[in-house]
Amino acid sequence: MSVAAMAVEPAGPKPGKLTAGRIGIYAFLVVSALFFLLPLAVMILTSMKPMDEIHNGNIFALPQHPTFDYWVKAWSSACTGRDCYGLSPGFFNSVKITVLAVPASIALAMINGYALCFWRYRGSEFLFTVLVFGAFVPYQVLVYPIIYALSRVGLFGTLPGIVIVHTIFGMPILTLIFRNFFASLPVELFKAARVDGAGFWGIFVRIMLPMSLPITVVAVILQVTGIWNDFLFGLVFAGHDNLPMTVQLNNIVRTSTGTVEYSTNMAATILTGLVPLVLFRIGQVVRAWHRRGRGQGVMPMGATNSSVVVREVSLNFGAVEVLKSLNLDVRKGEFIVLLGPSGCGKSTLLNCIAGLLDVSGGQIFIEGRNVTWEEPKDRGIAMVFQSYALYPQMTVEGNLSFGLKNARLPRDEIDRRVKRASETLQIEPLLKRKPAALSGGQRQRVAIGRALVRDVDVFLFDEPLSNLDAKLRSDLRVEIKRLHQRLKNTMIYVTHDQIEAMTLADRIAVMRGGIIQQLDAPHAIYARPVNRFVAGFIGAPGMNFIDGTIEEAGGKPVFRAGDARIDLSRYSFEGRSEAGRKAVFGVRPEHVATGEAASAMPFSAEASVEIVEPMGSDTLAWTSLGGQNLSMRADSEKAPRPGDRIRIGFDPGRASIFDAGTDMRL
Amino acid sequence: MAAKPRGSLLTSAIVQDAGIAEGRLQSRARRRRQLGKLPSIIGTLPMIVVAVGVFVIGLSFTVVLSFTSSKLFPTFNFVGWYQYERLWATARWVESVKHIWFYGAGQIGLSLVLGFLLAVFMDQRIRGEDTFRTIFLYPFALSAIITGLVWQLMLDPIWGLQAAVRSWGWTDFKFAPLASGETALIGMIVASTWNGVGVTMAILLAGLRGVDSEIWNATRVDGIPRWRTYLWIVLPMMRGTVATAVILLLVGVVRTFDIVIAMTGGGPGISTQMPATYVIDSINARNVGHGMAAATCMLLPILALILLQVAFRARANRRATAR
Repeated sequence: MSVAAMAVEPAGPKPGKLTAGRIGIYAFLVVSALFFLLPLAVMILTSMKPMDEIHNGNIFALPQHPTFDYWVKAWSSACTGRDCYGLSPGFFNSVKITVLAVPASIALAMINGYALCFWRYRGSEFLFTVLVFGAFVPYQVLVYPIIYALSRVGLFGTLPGIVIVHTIFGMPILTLIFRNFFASLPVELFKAARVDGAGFWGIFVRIMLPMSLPITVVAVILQVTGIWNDFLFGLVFAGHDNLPMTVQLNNIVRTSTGTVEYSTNMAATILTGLVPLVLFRIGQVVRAWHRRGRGQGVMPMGATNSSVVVREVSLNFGAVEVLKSLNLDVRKGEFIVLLGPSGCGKSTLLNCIAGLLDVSGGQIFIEGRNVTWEEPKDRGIAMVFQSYALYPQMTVEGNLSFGLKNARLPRDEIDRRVKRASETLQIEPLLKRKPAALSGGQRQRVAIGRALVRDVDVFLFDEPLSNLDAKLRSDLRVEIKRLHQRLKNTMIYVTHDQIEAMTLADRIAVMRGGIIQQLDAPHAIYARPVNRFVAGFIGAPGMNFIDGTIEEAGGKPVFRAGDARIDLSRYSFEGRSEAGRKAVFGVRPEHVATGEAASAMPFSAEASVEIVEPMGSDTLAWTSLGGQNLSMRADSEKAPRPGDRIRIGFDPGRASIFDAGTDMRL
Repeated sequence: MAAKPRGSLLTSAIVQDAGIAEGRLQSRARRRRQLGKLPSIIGTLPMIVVAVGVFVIGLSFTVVLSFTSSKLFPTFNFVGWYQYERLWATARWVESVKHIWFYGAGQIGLSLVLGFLLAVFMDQRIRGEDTFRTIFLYPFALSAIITGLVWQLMLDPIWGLQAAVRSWGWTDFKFAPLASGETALIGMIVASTWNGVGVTMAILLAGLRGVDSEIWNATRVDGIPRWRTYLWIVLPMMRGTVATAVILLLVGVVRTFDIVIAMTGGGPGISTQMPATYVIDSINARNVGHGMAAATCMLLPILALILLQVAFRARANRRATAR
């Protein structure tokens, strides 16, 4: 199946174009936006029109002779009852109330939150519960008791009175906000400060206060808006001399004699709303600025197969190249494992093959079809996810059949497939259960079942076993292998676990930095890694690397490191070996022999044991060669002890030699 | 063997001695630890006063007064259920309760549906998301008084929306709900939804974005249409978020006061009176005992909500331990 023979034109629409659906989305949003903006427009337009224009035109008409006279009137001379001072007294009253009540309520809430987080005492949690309950109580229920209490101490109808009321009713929400904020700080910070001898107030002032700036900004915006917009408390508690702007606004509107003077009313309304609107805008800016600081999340990566062909696929997230002109051919029925450290691009590649991510360049073919721009459901793939992604509110049976129902398959066909898949995976007893009632292993089996019922040629696995414990992981690993042998589907499997890779794969693609470093059978990757990264990544414990130079002695290549000379005549070089080249000699711990076996090796030397690490089945012993560390695996029964002088040896023919500069195999 | 009892006696004496010393150290440490909490208790004194003084004692005061014949000042002349009997025999109160049910159902329903729609549309990787968000949210920054006044103008039969649409040629267009007692509540629902739906949208949008992205990937592989995924998979997964939105809306509805004053003043007639206005009016009318009975009735749905939540949590805990 050559790539040239495949369809040249990709199937499916190329994304990013304006489709009918997209236009519909924007239409809905714009119409909604109009609904939200109209009252604001009406407010502004009406406030700038004289009454006769209002009488003769409609509320949406632009003012013919725009004027700010009504704004001036609303501010300074509109009447509330017999007083004709406009809104301005109310404005200054609101400023007074806000300036006093906001710092008071925030300071108290901060201390509350701090104490509730770090200095709990007996009953403090109960107090907090009562406080949160208070947030839900309708204010009107508490109005009279507070009137009564405040008048007993002579504060009813005074500025301190209204400030106290705002402090009381602001406390529940603000305390909650600060408590949650302090709970998100590392508790070690608090512990360290205590060890350093700071007390309740010391930690609060010197450690916590400086850290709470962002949340304080939020609290200030919230509280200023709340107090500025308050009507009920101002009406009841502030007293005649301290009526806030909202009450004054309502009074002005209610005072109108004869026809309602909408121009003045709307001007007054805008003036009253200006402060919270400006604050709202500031809040939005702060939010955007905050988000920019956080930056973009890293997306996961993916893989392909020989019924799958990946051609020159690249993927960029902004300026970051996640996949770099990647090529991969997966044969029919092959089990390919994409292996690499996190961030290497393996899951991204898999998601590109699945169609969950759009590629920036290149093409993807599945079963001979160019599917580069096709929807995932049309690609003939099935996928198993790390977090299982089971639909929590459906039973196992529902989960298995949901995709098939959407594909409008006949009922009996759906039943047949669900039955077959559940037999294969032995999950028939679980069919009526919901995912929450399943264990991790059962969930993963159901997730695999959901892939099985799709009856496709290509299976994609995205780290399916990472969420399971070690025992289950090895059980399911065997099961997946058995499944592959039975079904003979093409499978692409992403993992960072090299044991999974070695045991499952027909071929492993080792990835790093968005590039496939080596694609080969597991044994070949183990025995002949193409570069130092692959050599170091595969195999546990890791390969020993010894720095040195390649020299020539008597027509034979020799590796020299310190006083050690290793004869390389048994090593097959990829190209020509040049004398004098700096190189790295790699030998796996399990290929180093000791004792008599060592003497029989083509290379052997005396070494002293420095450290031993028992690992159960065998023991890792650390010695040195040419002045550099060398680990070796020894039988646990006859493991050497630190300080022992032993003979070590290995076959240079099984070693790997890399260029010290390029890290490529020599 | 013979020496053993003496030996053990000796050891036990030492142990006892050490035990006393230990106990003394322990109690001293305990005292010190309690002393260490003292600044915390002092620092949170205002919270103690508010929690106990206002939310416990204040509420109890309201409930106790509802069983008295208090007029302007509290008296403790207990009259049993008299105030409640009179309350539920008062047409204005009974109407107010009917209004709050209608208004609450309408506003919460409309806010949820519109809020969810907006959230879903906002979630389509649209351009200008921040602009739309600002537009949908800004009314919430405005007070209910402002909301009420603007919408009063918008819905004015002579100068408002109705007149404007008619002047464009659609002469039998009718939308002036505030003019009639039968429809005035609808006008109020529209206005308060305009004011608050942005918040519902923001909450639901956050919930949508919190859904595991692998679920989305799974539905795409399964070929499930997006709208169906939203409705049958994502929405049920967001139960918690929806509950939060509903609770916030509900608390707001029970408190409804300002918007009534600004928009209709309770009229036409008593068609937009609410329990909250009834309570305040009763206090103003120097009929405190009666008003407190009404206030206590307002507290009931909130108490029911809290009990419901406690029950839900207890059930969840039982389930968790049963597993």
